[in-house]
Amino acid sequence: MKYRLSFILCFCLVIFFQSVRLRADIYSKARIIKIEDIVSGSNGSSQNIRLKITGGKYKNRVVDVKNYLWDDKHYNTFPKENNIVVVRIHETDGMKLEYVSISGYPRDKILFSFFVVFLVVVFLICGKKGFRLAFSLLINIAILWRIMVPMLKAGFNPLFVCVVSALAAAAIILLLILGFNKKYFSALSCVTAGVLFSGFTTILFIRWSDVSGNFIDGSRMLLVAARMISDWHITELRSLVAGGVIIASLGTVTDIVVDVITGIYSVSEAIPGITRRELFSSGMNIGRDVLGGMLGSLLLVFTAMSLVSSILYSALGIPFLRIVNWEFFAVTVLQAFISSMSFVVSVPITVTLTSFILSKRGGVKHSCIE
Amino acid sequence: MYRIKLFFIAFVFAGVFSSYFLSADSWYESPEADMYAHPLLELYHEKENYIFGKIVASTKNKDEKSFVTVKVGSLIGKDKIIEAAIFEDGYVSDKAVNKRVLMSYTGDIASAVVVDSDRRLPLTISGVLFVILVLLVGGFDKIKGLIALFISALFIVFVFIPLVIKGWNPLALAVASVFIITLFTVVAIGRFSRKSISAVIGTLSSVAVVLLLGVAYYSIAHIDGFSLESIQLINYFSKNYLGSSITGFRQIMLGVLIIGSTGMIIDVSVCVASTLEQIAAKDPNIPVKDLSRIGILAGRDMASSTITSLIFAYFGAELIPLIANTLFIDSVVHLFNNEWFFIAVFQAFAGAIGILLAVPFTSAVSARLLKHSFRAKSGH
Repeated sequence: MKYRLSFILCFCLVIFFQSVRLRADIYSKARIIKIEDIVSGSNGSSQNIRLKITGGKYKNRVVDVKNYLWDDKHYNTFPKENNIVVVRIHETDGMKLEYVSISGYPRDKILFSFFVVFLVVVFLICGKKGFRLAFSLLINIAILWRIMVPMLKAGFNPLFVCVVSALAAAAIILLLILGFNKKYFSALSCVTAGVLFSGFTTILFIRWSDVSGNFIDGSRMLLVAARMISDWHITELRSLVAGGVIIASLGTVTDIVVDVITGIYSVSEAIPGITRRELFSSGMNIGRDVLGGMLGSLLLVFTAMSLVSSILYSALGIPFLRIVNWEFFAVTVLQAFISSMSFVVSVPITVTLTSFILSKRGGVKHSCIE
Repeated sequence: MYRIKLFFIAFVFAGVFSSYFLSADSWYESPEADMYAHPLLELYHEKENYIFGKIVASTKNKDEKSFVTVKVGSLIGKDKIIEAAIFEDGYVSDKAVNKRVLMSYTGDIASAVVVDSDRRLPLTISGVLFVILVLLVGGFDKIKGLIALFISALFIVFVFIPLVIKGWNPLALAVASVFIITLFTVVAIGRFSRKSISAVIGTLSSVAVVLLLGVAYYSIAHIDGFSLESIQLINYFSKNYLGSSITGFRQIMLGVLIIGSTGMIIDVSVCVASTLEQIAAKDPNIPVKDLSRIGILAGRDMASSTITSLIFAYFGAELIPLIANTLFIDSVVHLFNNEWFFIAVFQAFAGAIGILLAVPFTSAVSARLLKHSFRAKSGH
């Protein structure tokens, strides 16, 4: 087991850090040396700033920058003296510094400190098991972000890529939770079934409700990129929507399958020779209990994600009948209901499969199982 | 073990194969109709009335515009047949006959324009199917949970959103929504018992911690949400077109943060409280410290798998925005300083922290509350 774990760890680290380039960035951080006052001109205000670049190819270079300020304060950066800001370096063709513009506030150290807070909480509460949790998170993110997203960008079929990555992620997570034994194989089959169900159902509903995928938050950028970048291959946005649903349903399906399978296996170990029917009914009871708390969790996540767009479109005073037919509403509703449906459906699938595997026909009937 | 391995191999093989065949063939045919109007563009050509109909005949071209013959429902007259133009430069192919569409017109119905496809039926069927599946699999008593969800959705759609638009503080409204969602969901699962009260208190305290983290980090990192184009548009429209202006953008983002994580936190909280209730029922003399320690041990595994499902859920919901926003980013400095990336990662991991903290909070509270109830019952 340890050998496998360390193998997976190395594999993951390799994948995670592949193509992290430390080349000279066009985005670097710089420290403000001197700020002058805001000058309001005819075209808007600006501010002269002198700063010293603190990283990258042009380290320790002192540059004078004009910080252009828009009317709306949300679009501006207001640095103070001796603070660090992120700047964008514009180079001429000959790779020499042409001019520098201020890009925004720095956030990377803040993000890293937040990760530290997260790890502290994990180890405080989970103790040594925190390693397993952090590890499985690292693996998930490595597979999803470092393997699946580049494959999508490269133009492979999104549905196929998403299903395969989902199964690979499930395989590794289940290995960490359950170990390489009987439970693992049955769990993996049930997760596969649940993921496939969500894939099929999404495709059915997307075709029925005529969703084109063109009106989701980032899809216009993807369509523009398809025209502008020559080796950009994502053109079919509907399958990306379906891929998103598949990934979203993977998490809850894994959760429920693990709970139900551990429950059924403990029942079967506690009462050897139990009949298939009894195992089925106790498995369904376990599944019902687990299902009770999880009903609303995915729905609330999708509602929260779409809250901002809902505020926008409701603010424009459109009749309810029209909003209900809009595509962004349809996509949100479909995503929420189909991913919730797939984990509900995975309960009877898991119970059937596992009771079939574990029990023999006949066996001793026990009257104490209700 | 042999039989199981066979099952497993057969399943996974079938899965991968079928996903390949599913995606290979008929997906790439071009859609039957391209009449989708972007919402904001459509509003620019505003019409007053909306009506549904069904396409009965293929297109005709008149003056370089496409027309479809549509049969309109019997609200106006009896099954009127009209000719409707397609919005902007859309097209409708011959296969689109019998498709249901939505049209809008001003004044005379003859000037109707087809703006979108009628999606009421698929959406309703997906909702109904969900409800039926839950009732079938979970038993009829899950209807209380479904009603609680329905009430939460109604609250968000009919109270939260309109009041935010009127200019009320989004954060206060979000906290109120979290209260209502938690209260209704937990009571639906467990009725008014000490278990439910402790689950509610545990949930609300961990959501409070998540909120505090959000307030702290969003102000340090200068997060306004303006990397989302929806928020830029809300800002623009509220300044120029609406009566009251919406200014609390950071509070809207905080509201999104806490509402999103509430669902999963409720799940963990209720599970821990149920486990502790069963243990305290069997052994009423157990000391409080031991009871809460058992709760933390039992809740840890639950929390780990819920965190996994939270991360996957956020990732799946944001797949397209993720690819779009990281399109042109290929340097580490740029990525980790990007506001959208910060928001996405923060939401996921703050939710995870909330789930982890729900375990000790709920254990502590329910250990004390349940202890009192069982001690009272056994007559001490």
